[in-house]
Amino acid sequence: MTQDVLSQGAEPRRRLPQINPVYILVVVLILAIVVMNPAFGEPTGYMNYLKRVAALAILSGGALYVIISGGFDLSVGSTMTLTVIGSSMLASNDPNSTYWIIPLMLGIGVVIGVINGLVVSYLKVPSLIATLGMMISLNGVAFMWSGGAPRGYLPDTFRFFGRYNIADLPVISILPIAVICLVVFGAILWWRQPAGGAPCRRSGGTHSHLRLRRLFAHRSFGGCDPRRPGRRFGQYRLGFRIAGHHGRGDRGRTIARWARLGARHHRWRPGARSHLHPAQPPGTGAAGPVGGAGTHSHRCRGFRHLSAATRRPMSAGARPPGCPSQQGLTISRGRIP
Amino acid sequence: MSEISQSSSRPRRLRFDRHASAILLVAASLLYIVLIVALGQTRFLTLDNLVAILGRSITLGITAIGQTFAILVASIDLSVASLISASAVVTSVVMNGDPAMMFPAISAVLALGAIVGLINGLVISKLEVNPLIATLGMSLIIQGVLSYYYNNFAGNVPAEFQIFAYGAVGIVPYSLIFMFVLAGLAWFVLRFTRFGSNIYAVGGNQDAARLAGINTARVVIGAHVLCSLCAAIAGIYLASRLRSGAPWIGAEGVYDLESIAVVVIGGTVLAGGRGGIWGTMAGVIIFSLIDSIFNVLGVDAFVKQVLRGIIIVVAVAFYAARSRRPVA
Repeated sequence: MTQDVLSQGAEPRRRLPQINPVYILVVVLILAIVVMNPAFGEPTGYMNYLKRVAALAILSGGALYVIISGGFDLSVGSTMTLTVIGSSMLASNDPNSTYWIIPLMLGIGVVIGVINGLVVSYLKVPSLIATLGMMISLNGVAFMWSGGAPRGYLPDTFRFFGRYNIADLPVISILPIAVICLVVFGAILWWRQPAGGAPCRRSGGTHSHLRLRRLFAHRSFGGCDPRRPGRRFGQYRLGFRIAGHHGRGDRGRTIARWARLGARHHRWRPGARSHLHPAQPPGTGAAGPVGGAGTHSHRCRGFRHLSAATRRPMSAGARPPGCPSQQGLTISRGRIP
Repeated sequence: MSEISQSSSRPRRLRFDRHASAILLVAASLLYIVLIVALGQTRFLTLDNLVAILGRSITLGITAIGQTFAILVASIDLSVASLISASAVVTSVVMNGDPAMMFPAISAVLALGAIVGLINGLVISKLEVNPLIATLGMSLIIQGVLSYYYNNFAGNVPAEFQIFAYGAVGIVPYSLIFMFVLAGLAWFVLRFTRFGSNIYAVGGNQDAARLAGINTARVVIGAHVLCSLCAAIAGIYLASRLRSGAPWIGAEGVYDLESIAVVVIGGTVLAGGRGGIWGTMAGVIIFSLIDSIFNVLGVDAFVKQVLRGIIIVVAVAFYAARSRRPVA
């Protein structure tokens, strides 16, 4: 784009440090936490920590795809709400239901992601608005489905993925299933990242190519990995917090606690306000909320690209689609304009 | 700029862009009237009801006026919702029922708004942080500080101050007049001042604006200060209306995202440099009209929410789909 050419001549290009500052920040934060709370240095401490951040970590791994492609997804929070409600209503305490509920919820994620991607790519609605609309609609769908009140209960087979720890291991002593899921999905995301990310950043990428990739990114965000575990863990996490944490699992109590949760939040929305959260770790290079998780290296690595890529929604639309390769070049350089 | 482009023969597509929000507004109004007549509920077809419809979204309107400035400079402000909560709480806590404290409270809130906007603008323009992330961070900071000190309605505003929300000339509330005066002022600034044209220049192409000798950082900061000031005023209005402030009222109203949606529906391009205040006001009115249409039809509350999301997307797609510009 022309302004890039102009600005290159006008100002000396800034060299970014070789090491992403996020890594340093993560190390400093972890050290600070260990100093303040030695329990965190114990294997149990950080394993539990990883277990807690699993949902957000996977969610933000998915957000990375969309942000790299120049978009933004606000609808993740309400997608989580919908799948939490959906799976708890469908499960109705049947242990065998887990095996079809999880694929079904993944399917919902795929559908939502495809709709988001199509609206952004073909109707040319800015992704912020498209996913905002999706967020509002999905909240409404969740309310319609549940009738406005939480219902249903999750069997232990479902909650296994977020709740159970493999105990008595050497060195790390416990290994939560959630952390295994985090690593697995992190690996899938990392492995898939070149497919989703590189073409967007490649200097020669044409505009239509970029557009296709954006669709792809939305789809993979919605369907493949990130949201599903986000949901699953989100759900699981909710179950853990509300029922498990208080040591009682019986249905009535759980519902009472859910209701209380609802009262505290004025509306019963498990995923409420999380629409903006997953955007943060990629945006900040995965620093604060998810520091220390092993799967974030790609997120950190992508930080430079992100800074440029997230800048696109603001600046790209104003100009005619003159030089898409310039756009690709800018993103690939990851230069903060 | 508009005079020149209007006098030359313009392609039809751009004309359409320009009037899309007006078309949407007329369509929504016609739909409302047709529905009322069809359902035989002509009691809704009064001036009182029109004022009531407009009066329902004054907070959103005031916030959206500010948001228009932020979006016009190709930025965005997600911190307005928290700032609305903070302003409402500060208003009611400082006043605490004492009419003498009205002026100090309003000054304090406006100062708060100016400072928040200044920080937002500085972080975005000087530190070159992405506006989404910068203002999201600001939002979390404000919300965090606020929830640390307050967890429920705090303080109360004196009866004299409630006139701002409840007083009226005839049937028109002061607050409605205030909103339109504010919109008029914003229009004046954008249309007739140098700052206004700088906003369009910076939003259209920041580098070109800089090369043309505009201090782009100052323009971005100015736009953010105006945006935050409007959010602060919206908070003052909410405190006056609710008679007290609570730390969740901004987030509960989703004013951050709704104000962005309204601005975009009003035809302001999210990428900046194109759009205006009256489009935003049309967007605000469209939003309240949609709500009224649903109420007249007696749509279920949850279905209403689903339709609302769809309408936001369709309304923006209505003209975005025809544009050949790339989108984000």
